[in-house]
Amino acid sequence: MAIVPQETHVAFDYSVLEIVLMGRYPHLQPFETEGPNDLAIARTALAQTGTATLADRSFMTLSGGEKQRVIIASALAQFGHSPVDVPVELAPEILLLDEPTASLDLGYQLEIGATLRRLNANRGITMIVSTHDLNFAASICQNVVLLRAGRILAAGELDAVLTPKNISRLYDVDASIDRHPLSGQLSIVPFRRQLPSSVASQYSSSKESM
Amino acid sequence: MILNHNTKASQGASTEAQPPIRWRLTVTWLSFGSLMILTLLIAPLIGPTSITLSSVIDRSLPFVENVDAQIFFIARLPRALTGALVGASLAAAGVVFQALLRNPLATPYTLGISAGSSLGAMLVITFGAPVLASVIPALPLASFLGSLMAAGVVYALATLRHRDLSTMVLLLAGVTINSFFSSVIMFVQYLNDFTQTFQTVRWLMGNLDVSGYQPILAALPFTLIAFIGFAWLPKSLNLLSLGVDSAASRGVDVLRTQRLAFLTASLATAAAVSLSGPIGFIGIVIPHLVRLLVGADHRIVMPASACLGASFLVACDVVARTVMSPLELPVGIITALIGGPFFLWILVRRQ
Repeated sequence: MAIVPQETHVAFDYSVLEIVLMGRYPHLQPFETEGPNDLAIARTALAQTGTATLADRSFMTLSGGEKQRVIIASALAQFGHSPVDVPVELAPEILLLDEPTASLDLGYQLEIGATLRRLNANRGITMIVSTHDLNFAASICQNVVLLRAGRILAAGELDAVLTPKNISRLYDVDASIDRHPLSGQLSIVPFRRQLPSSVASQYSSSKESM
Repeated sequence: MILNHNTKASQGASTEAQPPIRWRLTVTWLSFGSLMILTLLIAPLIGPTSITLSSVIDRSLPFVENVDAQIFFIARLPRALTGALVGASLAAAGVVFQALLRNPLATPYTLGISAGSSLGAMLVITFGAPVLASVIPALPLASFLGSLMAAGVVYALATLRHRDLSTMVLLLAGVTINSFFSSVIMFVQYLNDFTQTFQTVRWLMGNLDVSGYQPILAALPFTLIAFIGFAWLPKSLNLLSLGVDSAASRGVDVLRTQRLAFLTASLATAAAVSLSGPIGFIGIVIPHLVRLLVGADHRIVMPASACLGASFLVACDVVARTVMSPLELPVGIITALIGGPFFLWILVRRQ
């Protein structure tokens, strides 16, 4: 299991390859250094996230989207096994991502989404993503769990869980949900904030009913 | 960056391509190590009386008649060895503190260690320690204990509320201790007479004029323990640089690593400062320079910094001994004169 945190601030000037190779450290003995097998795994991880050309660049100089993909590659490098490790079928590959697109602009959001979908399809990696961006979730997730105040509101397949009613219970907003004609994905647009019931009663006579 | 990224390994599609770390480690040890050894051999040969290496190792003369050998081994080599020990300790401790605080501007003195050692030294200078002085040199002992006390207080403050060692709290605790000890030092200085003031000021400048090998041997065990601890840190420090959560998810025992880093770096700094007084700029300039040359991987930065720190301080001491010969300037002046402008240049370059 590997994690991809929301943001990575690196205090020192590591290269991209060095950062991805750090994913191999859990597989090394205390004073062992990385070997050819580790380098091959790292290069595969870079290729799978489309960052192979960045290998010798300084991490600090990358864009937000590039940085996030490198961190994903670093997490992927944790999965590849050294010859003496457990067989692949006994060590499932699970990736935990914490708000992977929270601080990225739209272009990078699409980029990360595409990368994650591709890794899931080609490598069969199970991914658990925590996000507050419903559209991002709708674009990549097959199953969704809605959490509010530490409790599960709803869980299940994407289409079944992301309903106006559930979103209203989750975020106290009214939202419209359509299938977007061009992307084929669910598109969620919040359009009205629900007022708390104590305030709503002051307006109930003058506003249209919901 | 000369030893930084290995483009050879990225060329060619060979599945047996080696990652760059191994040859980089070898080259680092060979180059920086030989630099240190060369400096240690050459520095004692330089001085007001010129001596040659061949006459120093000339076995035909008995030692008592071999003036060159006497100068080399009795007057100059202890000084060079002290410089190497102090330089290596301060530079390596600087690397570790910078990694621990995740800030390239941290120094071995950021967390109050030099304030503690200065206070210890000043108490001995001002009030004397007649009982001890006949058995153990009181000044180095007091400054060593002062450093450890300061480090202990900072550590206790930083772990007061939480078991974790938050870097923010560590930094604040260090700044607090620095400031508090500085005021106590000021008070003690007020009580000094002229001679004591002179002694204090001279000690604070940082000096390598040790009286023989005995002080070196006294500090050596602590330095060795610290360096043995340093050997276990580099990979964990690399992982910690990416964030505490990432490091923990990769098997780093974060609390233990932080404790080990704090303990070993404090011990190395305390031993160094008790030998020579607080010599500045080594702990910040050398790590920066090394990172510019070899990249940020701590497995390479730490040995390189230790060797370069040793060489640099010994070289500064040669300058200090010869630039105003026959006067011997305190080496702390030279490191400050070189380190200050260099540090400014680093800051400007970062923009």
